[in-house]
Amino acid sequence: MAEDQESPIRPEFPIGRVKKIMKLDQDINKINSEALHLITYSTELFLHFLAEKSAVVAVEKKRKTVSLDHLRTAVKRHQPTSDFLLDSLPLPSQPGRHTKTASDKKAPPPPPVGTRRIDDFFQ
Amino acid sequence: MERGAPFSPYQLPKPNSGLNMDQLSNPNSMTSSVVTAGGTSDKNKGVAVQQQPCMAREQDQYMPIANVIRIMRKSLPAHAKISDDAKETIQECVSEYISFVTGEANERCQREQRKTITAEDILWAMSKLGFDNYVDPLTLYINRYREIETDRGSALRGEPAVSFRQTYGGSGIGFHGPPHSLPPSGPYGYGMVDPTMGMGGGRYYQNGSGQDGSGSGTGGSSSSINGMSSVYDPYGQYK
Repeated sequence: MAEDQESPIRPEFPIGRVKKIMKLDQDINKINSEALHLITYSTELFLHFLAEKSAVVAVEKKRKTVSLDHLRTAVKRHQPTSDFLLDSLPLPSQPGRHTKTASDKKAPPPPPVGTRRIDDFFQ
Repeated sequence: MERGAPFSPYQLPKPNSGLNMDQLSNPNSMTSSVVTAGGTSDKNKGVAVQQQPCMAREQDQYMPIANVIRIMRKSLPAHAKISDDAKETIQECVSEYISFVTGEANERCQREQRKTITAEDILWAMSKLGFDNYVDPLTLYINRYREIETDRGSALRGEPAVSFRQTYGGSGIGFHGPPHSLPPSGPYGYGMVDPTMGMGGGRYYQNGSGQDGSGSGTGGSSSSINGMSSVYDPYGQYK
């Protein structure tokens, strides 16, 4: 069946989405279908690379969870990746896109001692 | 399948918090704004329409996070976890990478006054940007892709080689002659290319000439395979 031959080359990423991302750049005109497949597959390779290197850093720091810092260290260690990616990484102090602000909520401070509620006047 | 819907829960609270403040005095609008952004009130609709394209663009400019996580898990140890901010950042990194390589390939295209980015442009860009260790697996990948595309073209023309290919059960490499000696898949280190490159060398089958009988048609069947049997002729010694 045709699927047997296609599965070795079927990319894991949606090709349509890759094309949309490429088209975000106004200068890009047309993309060959071969080029599109190539980019998609190379992106998978890149992602594997990032994941592997970040995991190595996490293991070095004896952590089970791969964090943003581990990713940043991994990026720094590989020169070509660092050249284009390091500036894009968020700074450690910046929150992510979807960070919850639960930690920002604080209970209001208690009123000072001796304060009388306004209701007291009307009793 | 994809989280392409613009109304993901992450974005909704931002526009709606503004809406709720405005419409505290109007309970009808408040309920509709909470339920969906495509509510009945005009104000609701107006704000939703303005917010909608921004939300769609943000989702569309990244790869779907489910795919990203799935591919990452293949490279990570089984028990490893990924923090949320790392997941999102990697999503952004992936998009950056795509834009970066494409931009470089496009520059070369423009310098050579071509309008369409080709596979060669991409490979050249990768090499120039320092990702030459990807060039080999990518070259193999694109060769296989081209062979499959050509095979599909020949299948449509109805050539007899179709049945041969179906029983082969592996990749299309080696179809046009003796098996290529593929370089060992070890150096790539990613592991994902290996299974797809598995060359079942012993799985050549004779073409559909089984009607010749179990062994008597050896001479006839060999000649009908157009030289393929020069590689592997299991019935050659039957007497």
